[in-house]
Amino acid sequence: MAVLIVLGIAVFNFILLHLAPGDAADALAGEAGAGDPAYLAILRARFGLDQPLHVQLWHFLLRLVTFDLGFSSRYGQSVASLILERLPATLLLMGTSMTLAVAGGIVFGVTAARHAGRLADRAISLVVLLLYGTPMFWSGLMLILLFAVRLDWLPAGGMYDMRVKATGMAHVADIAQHLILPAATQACFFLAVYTRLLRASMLEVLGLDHIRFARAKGMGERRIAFVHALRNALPPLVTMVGMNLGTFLGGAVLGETVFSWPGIGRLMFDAVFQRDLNLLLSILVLSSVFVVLANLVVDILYAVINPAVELR
Amino acid sequence: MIRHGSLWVGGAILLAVAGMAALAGVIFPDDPFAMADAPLLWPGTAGLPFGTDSLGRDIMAGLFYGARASLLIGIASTAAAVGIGILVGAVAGYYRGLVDDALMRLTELFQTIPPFMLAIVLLVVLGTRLTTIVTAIALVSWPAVARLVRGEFLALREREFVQSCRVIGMSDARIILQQILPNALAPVIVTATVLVATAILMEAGLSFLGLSDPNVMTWGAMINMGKDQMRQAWYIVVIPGCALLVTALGLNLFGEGLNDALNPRLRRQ
Repeated sequence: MAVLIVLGIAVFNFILLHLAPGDAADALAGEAGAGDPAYLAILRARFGLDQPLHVQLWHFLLRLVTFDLGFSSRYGQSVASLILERLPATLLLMGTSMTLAVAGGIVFGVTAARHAGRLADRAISLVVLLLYGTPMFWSGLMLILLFAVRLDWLPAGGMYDMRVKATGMAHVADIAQHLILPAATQACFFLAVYTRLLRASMLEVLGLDHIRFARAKGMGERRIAFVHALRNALPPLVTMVGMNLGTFLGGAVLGETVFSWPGIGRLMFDAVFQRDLNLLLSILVLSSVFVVLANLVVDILYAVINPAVELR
Repeated sequence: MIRHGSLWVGGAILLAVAGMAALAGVIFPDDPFAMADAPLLWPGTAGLPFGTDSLGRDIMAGLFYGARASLLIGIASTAAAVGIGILVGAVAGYYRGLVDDALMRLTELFQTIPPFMLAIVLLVVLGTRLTTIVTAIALVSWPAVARLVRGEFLALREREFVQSCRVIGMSDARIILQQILPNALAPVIVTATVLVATAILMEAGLSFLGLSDPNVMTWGAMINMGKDQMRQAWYIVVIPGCALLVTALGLNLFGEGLNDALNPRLRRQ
């Protein structure tokens, strides 16, 4: 199944490449080769653009499998190494913001469900509604305005302080400091999504028999909610997180652009700016493949937290 | 009336935004890109309630024209996405079997590719005009509708009224369009309302990255142009952002209210 999806993604990208104005060589050459017919001729020969479409598709797939994504003249290195180099920064930001969103979603969602209809629930609902409607890049700018410009507590962008070359723990602390605002920005929207989801599934679970039984045993309400009910309410959350992975990655383009975070999202923004279609398509393909792989992990996780599901 | 509070509040917000969009050309007959006064005037000075940006353009005028662009793009792309989604979902859910398998694989494919990234690449490939922006947003938004419609069709196709239609020899097209679809429409309308909000926010994000029609004033583009002066003139970024927030909020409230109104039995606890 996953293989089929990856194949579909590759074919889809091939179609996109051919939708672009000019032939694929123009697109692949990007800005640098645009006016250089000799370079274009080399590219055409290399990618076999004189051959029929199905042969071209076959070569395209072959290059993908061998990870030969071409060369970015702008950066002076191969696209594959360029993307791999930026991957850790994006994974760090994504992991942190997702953890924040899930943890926050659990705390707020469970709290709202436990106090359904009362003040705490209403306050949380209001915050969720506001977060739902806030454009992510804009809340990032607002956080910069407040915490970096006005209060000067946190850095406005980048991943580490360029002026001092910190090492060891100081380096980790430096990165952590730079991580706070972008991670919070990216977490906000999904925090709202997960809070709403968990509130609904908790309300469903809290009415079930085993919860009544736990209550009858005299178990504390907090323990019931966070231990017994949460376990049953988690599977939909895990499914949702899996479904959101692609949206998260897409959001990284905005988040990393606002905060100059040196990840794949920022790379994509630069590629848009330079109209470097090959780099753009490579990022799109690899991001999609990443989503497929991450979803496999989510499936396994799902089976772990929900023993009723058997892995195929 | 009071029970449907969010429907009314959301509706009022939407009416206000629609009013801004409709009256933009009447209140501000000049080009919103034209220089109205000195650059970087603070709100309230020189009779301009929201001031001017770094190129001396009236922010109030930009706000009105931005409302027009946001609503137009949001509604048009959602309409297209709902159209594709209904087509795919209805055919998949009604015919099941191989057709269903193929269409759902296609839907999954579109759900795997990060939607915002796909929209970016589509705009770079197709160029940024109003029509391509609508196309790009529609192309990444339809899978949710398709899945929803398919689910409704799978449930409804087994119902007695559909079976009796089959017995009297009604054609598939008529059963799908006249019998099942009207019954499946309520949740689609609710989803569509929320999709408009998502589309508006996505358009703003794309504009913020510089992927907007250069001849159309949008809120995202206003934020993009103002972000470099944020330290001195934060209002340029704050004002269109608030407009986006309020509009998305209005749509979400309206959708929530519609959901309550259309599904009385599923009223929130």
